[in-house]
Amino acid sequence: MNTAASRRIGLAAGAGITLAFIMMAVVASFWTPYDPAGIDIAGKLSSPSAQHWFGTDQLGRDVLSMIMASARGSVGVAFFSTGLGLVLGVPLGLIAAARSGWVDEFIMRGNDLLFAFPSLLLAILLTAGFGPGALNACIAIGVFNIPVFARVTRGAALRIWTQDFSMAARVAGKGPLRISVEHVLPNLLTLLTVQATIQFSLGVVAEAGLSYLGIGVQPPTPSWGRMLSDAQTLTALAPSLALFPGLAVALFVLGLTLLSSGLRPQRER
Amino acid sequence: MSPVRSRLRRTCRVALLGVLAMLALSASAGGAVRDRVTIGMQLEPPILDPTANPASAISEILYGNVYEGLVQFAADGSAVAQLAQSWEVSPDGLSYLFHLRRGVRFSDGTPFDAATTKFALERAIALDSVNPQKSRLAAISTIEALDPQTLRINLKRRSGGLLQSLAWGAFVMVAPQSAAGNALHPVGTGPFRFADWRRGDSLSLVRNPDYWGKGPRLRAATFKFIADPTAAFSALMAGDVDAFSNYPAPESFSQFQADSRFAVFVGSTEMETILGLNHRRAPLNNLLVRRAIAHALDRRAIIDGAMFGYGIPIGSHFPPGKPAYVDLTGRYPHDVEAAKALLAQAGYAGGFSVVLKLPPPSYARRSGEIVAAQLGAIGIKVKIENLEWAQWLDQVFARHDFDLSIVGHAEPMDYDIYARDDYYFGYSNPEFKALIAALDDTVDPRERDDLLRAIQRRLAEDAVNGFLFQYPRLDIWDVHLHDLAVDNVLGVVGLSRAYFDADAAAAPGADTAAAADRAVGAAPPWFAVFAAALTLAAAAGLIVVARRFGPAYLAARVGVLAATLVLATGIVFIVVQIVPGDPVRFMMGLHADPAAVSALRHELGLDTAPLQRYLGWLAGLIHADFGTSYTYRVPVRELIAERLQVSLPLDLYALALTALIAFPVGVIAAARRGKATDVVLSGLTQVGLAVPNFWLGLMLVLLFAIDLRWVSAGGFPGWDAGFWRAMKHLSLPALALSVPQAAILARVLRSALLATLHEDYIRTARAKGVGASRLLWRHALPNAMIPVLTILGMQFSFLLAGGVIIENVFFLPGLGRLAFQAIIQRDLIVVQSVVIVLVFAVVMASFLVEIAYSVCDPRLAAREIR
Repeated sequence: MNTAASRRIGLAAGAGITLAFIMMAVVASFWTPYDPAGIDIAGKLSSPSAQHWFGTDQLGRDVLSMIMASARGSVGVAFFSTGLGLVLGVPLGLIAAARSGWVDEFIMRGNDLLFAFPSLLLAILLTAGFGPGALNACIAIGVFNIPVFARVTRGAALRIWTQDFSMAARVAGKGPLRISVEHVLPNLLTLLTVQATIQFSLGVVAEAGLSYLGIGVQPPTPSWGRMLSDAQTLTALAPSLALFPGLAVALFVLGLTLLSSGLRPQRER
Repeated sequence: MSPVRSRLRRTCRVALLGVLAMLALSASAGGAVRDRVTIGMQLEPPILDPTANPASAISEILYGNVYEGLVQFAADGSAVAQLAQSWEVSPDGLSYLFHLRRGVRFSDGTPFDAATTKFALERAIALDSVNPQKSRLAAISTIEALDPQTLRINLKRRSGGLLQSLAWGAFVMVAPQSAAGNALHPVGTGPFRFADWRRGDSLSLVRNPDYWGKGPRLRAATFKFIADPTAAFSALMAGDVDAFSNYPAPESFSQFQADSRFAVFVGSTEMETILGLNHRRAPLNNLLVRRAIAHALDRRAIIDGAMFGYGIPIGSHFPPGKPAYVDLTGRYPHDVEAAKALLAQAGYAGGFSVVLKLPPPSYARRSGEIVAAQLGAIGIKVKIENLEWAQWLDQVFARHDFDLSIVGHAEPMDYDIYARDDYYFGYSNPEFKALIAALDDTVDPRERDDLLRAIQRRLAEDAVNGFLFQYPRLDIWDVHLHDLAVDNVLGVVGLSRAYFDADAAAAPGADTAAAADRAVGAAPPWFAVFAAALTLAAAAGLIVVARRFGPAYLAARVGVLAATLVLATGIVFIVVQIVPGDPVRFMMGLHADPAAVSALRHELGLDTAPLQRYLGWLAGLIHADFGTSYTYRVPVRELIAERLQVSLPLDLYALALTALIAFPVGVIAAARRGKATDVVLSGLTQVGLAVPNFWLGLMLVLLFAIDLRWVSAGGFPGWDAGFWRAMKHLSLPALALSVPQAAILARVLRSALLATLHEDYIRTARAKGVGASRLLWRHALPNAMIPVLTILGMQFSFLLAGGVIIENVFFLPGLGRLAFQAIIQRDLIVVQSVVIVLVFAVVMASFLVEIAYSVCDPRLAAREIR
């Protein structure tokens, strides 16, 4: 998308969708149409109707309420894992850019090594080993965000270090730490926001995948991924059960990617 | 018409006729009655020796088909003749005399007689034996082979359950020469012989022409392992399997009942599903509290919700249908008020909080949610924790760190667990123990039945556990398949009498080149060619670099590569070691004999120090020896090679589709930049990369496999079932994987093209008069390929490692699934090795790409040498 109008539409749509999902997560903390954990065997597997807009699942729970409540887990896990990557990755990148030489080399080789690891398998290993749950999922996903932020920060920071104002600051006697914090970091904010949005969307997908495998967010807290795996055995009886949770994930990620594309500084003419 | 064209037409006609003829021939293959069957099963056996591993899947497939015992179970659980024709018990109950059958041979040629029986039994009860049930024969003092057809067993004390114990799969007859190899190559006296085992996929048997009894009507049988309920459903619907034993998806069972193509069986099993209570913890040690819990449970709701109505309510730990059964479900009827009153009486009017730990199977997870709600209704707050089997065995079973748990107990006649103080319930009642002791001492059947009834009543009176339901047996088979015997005691799938009637349709590809009679599926020829080509290309690249930049440069790069890999092995080893969970406990299961557990631990080398294990593993890695798998006991290298045969082609297929979709989309979007086409295509790619690939896979299955029935919804038939057939099975997964990747690639290509199109040399060419499309194809595109190739390289590694979820959706025996199952089973060696292989692939791929850059683009090379 590169005409100005289509960019603006994309940004607006992305921001709108993302905001809608975050609002849904917030609202679900206080209110959902039904209790997402409310079991009602007699009313199980009913199709969408006036009482249950998205129908009920195999234990009679209202699907719409479950989808709303799942947004909390998704947003939470994605937020904390992205945060983990930011908080640990950005300083590493800044240090690597400020001190070239063996520190830089060491950090970058470490990065490459971490990149080479199959992140999904290791996330599975960590959650399966230390116990499934939202916290471990955050850590497992977050650890692999660190090299991403480190690399992006370093690349952009290096470019900023070559600018005149950085050189002026050095001449004025400011140490590399002060320069990094006062000059480099502020100029990185847009880039970091874009990258954070991207990692956030990847976090949503990763959380859905881990929950699908049964090792992410645990019951009774609902989760889109777990709803999908429960629905898988019922595709013959109630195909719509697999449709809505997946649609929720896809829509949320779509909003986030539109947002990140829209925020990206325009480079092509 | 010109001579050339008419010749062309003739050739086409001939070719067409030839193709039609071939099709006709292949379609008509299969006029005779079908004599091969494919049976689906949930669980795969870890090894094939029931005397060395307690997994019930081993007996389900091999007992009665390949292996036979002295006696076997009748439908009512009593012992009847098999290899022993008759027997006598001495009046004092301390001596058993068996008369063995004549003319029986093992499939390796060894004759069966009293000497081999003595060998088999002594091997089972030996001090260092890893037989999971050896404590059941603890009463045996000596075994004598009086003559080839007569065997005497002398006991130290009476053992009323001895005959039934001998019917267990753990005590089948094995031959002295072949016993040690039974784990991988079972040798027995049964109507079928072992043919082939493809781990993660299937196990095949063929008819034994030298069987001592009436020969089977089937020539061959294949057991396919399908754990996933949806894959099981679609395998049956698509005809990939002819029958399913222990069908895992009760929710879709009624569909098969209504379908005239299938016959179904609803029966019972020996598995009591119970809500286990930890008597070591307050307030569960209080009888009133336990009775309150019993009143709070509504068994009908649990059966309806968790099992869709299939299952029989139970009131004690005993299967309904057995002669000694007493119906105790009315002892504590569902009564919320009575439950609350009892709680108040016990002093817990305000309720209390507990943790409910659940193992993986869906019956446990679903029941757990319902039970939690039911207990919540009387004021008990239940927090659910879902555990993997390894964690459950460790926390609940071994360390007794739990309050409540739901699990099924599948062993027949296992009421004696309530007499064990160290069992996870922690129930200890001298009265009950006296009953069990009396039972062991009693041989008379009617007295035994009385004692069994007393045992059931005692357990119900003490409300020891919440007794939920007897797990149902759900079997489905092709209506043209007859006399497939499924026994309800050990769950054995008996093939000896089964046959197809004349109306059975020929299964697709079932009669092509008897796969069952072949040895382990050989890798297809193209695999070797591909590997060779890759190695040659890499070698060529390395030589070019060495010549251009000097051997020192090359040595330095290789050195860095090696150091990176060694560091990676260290990190992998540490990560895998710190993850909690004991593989030995997982393998030995619920009834592990402590001596057998430590014997196995020693055998696997798990009692040595970590550093030693690491160095040993590292040393092995250097000559591509990854060690031996704990669960399967085969070299990990073989497991990985087998699985790569699926993962690698899937990866390449997905990459090819990615390129196929991304190139046109990216190029057209770039060429028509800003116009409507570009907007639409860019929009599509935005949506494409937002879709999670496993959801896409599910939707594809729904449409193409279940609705349209064009392809089967999962599984992999093996490359020797035919190249195209195998590729068909990979098509949906490859498509699901490729769509999001293609969206990414298309966007990258588009922006790379647009960036290139702004370069000066393009402007010069334009000024010189070069046309727009020529500009795009001859000038812009080749230069835009560099970022595209980088992305493709990254996607190759990503797809190889990230396919685990897709492999689960489509049930493909690939590398991701191997790693996932190994993690669950705590088969640490396999996990370490798979991760290292993947790391190696990524590191090598990027190393080779770098080399390729320096070879192709001299400017990049110049930058390399600082």
